[in-house]
Amino acid sequence: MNARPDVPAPDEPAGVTTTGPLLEMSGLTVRFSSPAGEVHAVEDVSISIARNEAVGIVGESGSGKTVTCMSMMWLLPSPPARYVSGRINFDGEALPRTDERRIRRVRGAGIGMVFQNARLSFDPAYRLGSQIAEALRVHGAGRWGDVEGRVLETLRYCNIADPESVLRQFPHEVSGGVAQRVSIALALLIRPKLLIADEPTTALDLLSQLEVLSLLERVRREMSSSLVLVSHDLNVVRRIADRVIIMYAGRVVEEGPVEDIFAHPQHPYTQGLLASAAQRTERGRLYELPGQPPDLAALPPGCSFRPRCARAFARCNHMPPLYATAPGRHCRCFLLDPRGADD
Amino acid sequence: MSTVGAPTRRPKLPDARHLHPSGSAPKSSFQQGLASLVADRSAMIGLIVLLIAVGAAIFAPWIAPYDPNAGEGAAILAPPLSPGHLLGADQQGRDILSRILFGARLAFPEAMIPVAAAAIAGTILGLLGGFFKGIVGEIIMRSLDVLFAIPMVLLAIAIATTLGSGLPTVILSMAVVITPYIARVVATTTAQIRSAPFVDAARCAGFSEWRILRREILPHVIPSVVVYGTTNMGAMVVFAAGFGFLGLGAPPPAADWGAMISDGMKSLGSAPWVSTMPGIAIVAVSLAFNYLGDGLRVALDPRLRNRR
Repeated sequence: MNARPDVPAPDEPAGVTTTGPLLEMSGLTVRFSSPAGEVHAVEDVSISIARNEAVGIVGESGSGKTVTCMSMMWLLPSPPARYVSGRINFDGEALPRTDERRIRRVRGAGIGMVFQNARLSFDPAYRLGSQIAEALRVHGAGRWGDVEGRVLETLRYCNIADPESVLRQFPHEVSGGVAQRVSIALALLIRPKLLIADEPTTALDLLSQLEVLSLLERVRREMSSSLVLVSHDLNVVRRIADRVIIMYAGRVVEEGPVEDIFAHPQHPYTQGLLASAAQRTERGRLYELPGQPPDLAALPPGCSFRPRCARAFARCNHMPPLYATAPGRHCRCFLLDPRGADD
Repeated sequence: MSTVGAPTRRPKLPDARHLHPSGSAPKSSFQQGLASLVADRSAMIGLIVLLIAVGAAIFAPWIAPYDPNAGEGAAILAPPLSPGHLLGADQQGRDILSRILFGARLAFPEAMIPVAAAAIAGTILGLLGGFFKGIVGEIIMRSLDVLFAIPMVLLAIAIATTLGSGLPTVILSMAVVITPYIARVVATTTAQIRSAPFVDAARCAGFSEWRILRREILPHVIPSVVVYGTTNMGAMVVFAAGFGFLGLGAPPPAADWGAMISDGMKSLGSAPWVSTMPGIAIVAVSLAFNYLGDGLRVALDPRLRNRR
């Protein structure tokens, strides 16, 4: 990678008006109805994201990561999704689900999103350039002639060598890595206060993964925006995030500063997750977390992780609360009960 | 919001001509589609047949050898290829070629106006019904289901007999009958596309629902409407002929292909050409529409056309 050009169009630093957390989500519960019964996708999730903070959300598929992220700007269509409860405060203001005008203002300008499969997140009917132009127009950025220079510069900043020709291409004509970098560039052009990247590297080959990751790192360092990085890859999260939230079966099971969690995982699930992410155990074999995540339409009573947990005991027939175990750390496990595990 | 009302024309993009050593710019989507259509032999045959038929309709008064409604005693039931009557004559001695040429002036509007009207109505209903899941969508889709439950021909005849026979009635009742079909095609496509990742992406870029409907959904729906409409135009030519055959179309002296077949029925044993000639015209035009429709289906789908 060569010496990068200046960050295009440096605006005044984002969000100087308020000092509280940038996004505060409390008590989010989302369910879907399915033939198999009601799917409890997300249960009572509360997340707070500070300004300039990078938060990683980690979990298996179906743990509610994506539903949580999409709900940060009420993006799930309802029906089929049913928002049972949950409140959101963004940038110091309540963001009720019924206030469509405000939600639309927050989308894009306040919260931007980068999707797992960037190629599919562009409309196949239009050239990439047209779509960037349209998105900028929606946000009042002016006509193409006024923004063209900035667009080209931002694309180059995102390691796209030949932005002029990429703009003329259709989404299916570019590679997944290029599409992902274009979508990051688009998010940068709109300059959201919070950028959500939902598994941004999962659909890419190894080289593109590295490139997108270092781009995200750079974005985070230089753009002074908050970042939510959703991934099932702990190493990706470790590289970028300040704080990590571990989700299991629709609930937050552990959260804390990223190095703390890696050094001292508290929840048995996190311990299993880290063990399976480690290269090898002492005996030279890969560790595998036994069992399957539960069916979200038929959750077992009590702790959702109980059926897979080697350390489960009698109390686990009840759902443990999220205990505050140390400054900034929370864990949903009776083993961490400050009053003693066998209470 | 002023930005939403901004002109919908796409901005001019940087010219990439210098990237191509030959000096030619890459082909636009439209050019690629056109090239695919031109390369499709059966679509081209269909197009040529239709152009000839449309030409015949337009220029009928000048190229038809006889007045289509004036009988000639000496020519009654003249067989095809008889002197002066290339395709023969009917029971009243009217020249069949002239009647077929003039019949085209009825057949095209009878097929195209209802399809065009239904395409507009069906697209609007289908977009709304497929996109807005909820009361609005349910009401639209259930009302369309009611129309589906009644057989097409029966419904059309019911409307036509209620309003009285004549060309406007035929056109109106056919439009009503086709609308649910187009609406269903549009609703299905809309329902598929509304859950596509790029619609989510547009939504989270702050696009309003109407803008998503117009900019992200409509462009994907139009090709299916065009294809469905063109392919069905063939069926509509037959359908309209059916109306004429049943005597519900344009009133008697008019040269209507369906009515001509019906007239010829009485002498089908002795003079089969009276019915057969307009029948051939109907088949040719309707097949031509089908071939063209198939070609358009390929040409309008970037993935299909590149595979050829």
